[in-house]
Amino acid sequence: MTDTDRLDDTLRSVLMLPADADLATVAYGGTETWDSVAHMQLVLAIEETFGITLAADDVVAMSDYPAATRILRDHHGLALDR
Amino acid sequence: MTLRNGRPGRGLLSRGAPDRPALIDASTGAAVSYGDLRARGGAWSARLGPARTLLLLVCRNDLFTTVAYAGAFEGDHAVALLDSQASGPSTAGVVAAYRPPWIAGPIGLGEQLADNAVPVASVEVVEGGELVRTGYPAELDLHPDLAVLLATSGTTGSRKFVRLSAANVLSNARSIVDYLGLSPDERPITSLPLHYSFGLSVLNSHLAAGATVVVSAASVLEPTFWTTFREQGCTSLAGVPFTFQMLERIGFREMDLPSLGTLQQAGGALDRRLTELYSSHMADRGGRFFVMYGQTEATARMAYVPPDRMPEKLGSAGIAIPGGRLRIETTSDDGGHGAGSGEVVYEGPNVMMGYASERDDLVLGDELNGVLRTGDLGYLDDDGFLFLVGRSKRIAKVFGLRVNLDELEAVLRRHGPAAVVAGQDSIWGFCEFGTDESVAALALAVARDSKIHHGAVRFRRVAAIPTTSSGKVDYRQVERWVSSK
Repeated sequence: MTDTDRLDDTLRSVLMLPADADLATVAYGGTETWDSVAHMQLVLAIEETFGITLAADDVVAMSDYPAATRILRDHHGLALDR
Repeated sequence: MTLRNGRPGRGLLSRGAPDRPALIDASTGAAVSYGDLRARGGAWSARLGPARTLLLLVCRNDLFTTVAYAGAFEGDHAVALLDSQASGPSTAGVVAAYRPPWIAGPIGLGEQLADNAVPVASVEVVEGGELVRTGYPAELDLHPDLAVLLATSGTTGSRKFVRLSAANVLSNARSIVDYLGLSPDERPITSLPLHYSFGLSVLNSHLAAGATVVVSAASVLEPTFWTTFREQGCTSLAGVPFTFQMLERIGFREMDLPSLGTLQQAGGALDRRLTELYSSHMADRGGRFFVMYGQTEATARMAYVPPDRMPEKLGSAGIAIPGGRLRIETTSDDGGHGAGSGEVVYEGPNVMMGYASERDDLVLGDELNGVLRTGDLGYLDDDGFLFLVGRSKRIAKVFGLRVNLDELEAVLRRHGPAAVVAGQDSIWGFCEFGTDESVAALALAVARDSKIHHGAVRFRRVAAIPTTSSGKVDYRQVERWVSSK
């Protein structure tokens, strides 16, 4: 399983998205299931999945899929292809 | 200040100087002065007609909601506040129970109501929102004191509301102005929903102080919230325990917020570590951290811990607010919490008139006479500080929302034997029926209907629900399952 798959699975599971959901368009406040409670759970789930600790600024900045990819790739060196 | 029929308003805005800003819209930066608010509120009130009527207000944290609320309140109408996040069917259920002549809310509300079989006579676009005239008669019997209706539970499926008089609202607002020492220079940001009694009390108390409320729909997890906070020079922030967990995770204590002076916490007990951290943090930066205790049944607030009594009174829910009194009613059964513990009883002018569950209840007068049995168990120390030790009713707080565990359990019991208990910001349901898949599906359905976050509702299948010798569910035993998970 690639890091991208693991990120996708984490998002789908925490945000309760169907398998065919277009993750590129999910966003905090825009996706119905992505509210503040889900955001905190998402942060925890990503940290557990990848064994990392997100910086405080990144917790706020990680508000959609591209942002999550960028943060995990640039700040944590994960191999994310999107 | 003239509003409906040339009569003076109820007095919520009376301390606001006409040229001072009452509200600032975070999305545009536009200010509404107290003079403007009186005029626009007067226009709102006039739209509802010359007779006292009932407005159901579907709330968001925006200018539309705050102006409509202030207008209806000052115009001597009764206004019921609902969550805009509630589902169409759940809003329609409230409408069917109360038959309000008027409903106001976001654009699209009229269509959503019609889709859910609410009789819609006309829809008018007003100030960027919609005012819906329903097919229900405009004439209705309202008790002359009735001013505000707030849902009793964070779970929006509920049709049970707390009936508040104008005197309830004003006395609580003025008491808060007094103990927080609010001046017209205060500038809080709306960090809690307005349909929630704690969130509404932030608005009411600061309007009563002639201060400026910055109206923002953003959560503390969004960068725009902090941009607004800095640009508008906000002075205070109110939160439930979950707010402080979020603040801690996003590095709040390292943020540069020169205008911040006060943090307010209520809506459930904040854990000891965060209470200590935020109390000392605010003291270090020359500000104040207020731990408070309240209930919607008391309009909002009943007790507070003066910041200068921290850390000495760490863990306390505080002393009674000005004008209120706390006492403990001890019974032979102290619930195993020790001598001196008993039910917390609050007395004060902010105690609700009573509950309502349908339109006919809106004619009822004051049924409590200023005395509220809170359902909380606690004791008072020698200095009169309240310490809470539990609840006599089975009510849990999940992310600041109040959840009646017995009501939820009744839903599960339609399927078979079940027990529902609370964990840390979670609800656990144990079922003697179904399959792993079916109880998981039930958990999702319950979460959706009750608006509790799906991650906080956990249902499990068990072989048997433990019972006491008298045949009742043994909740202590069930709670042990939760703490072992």
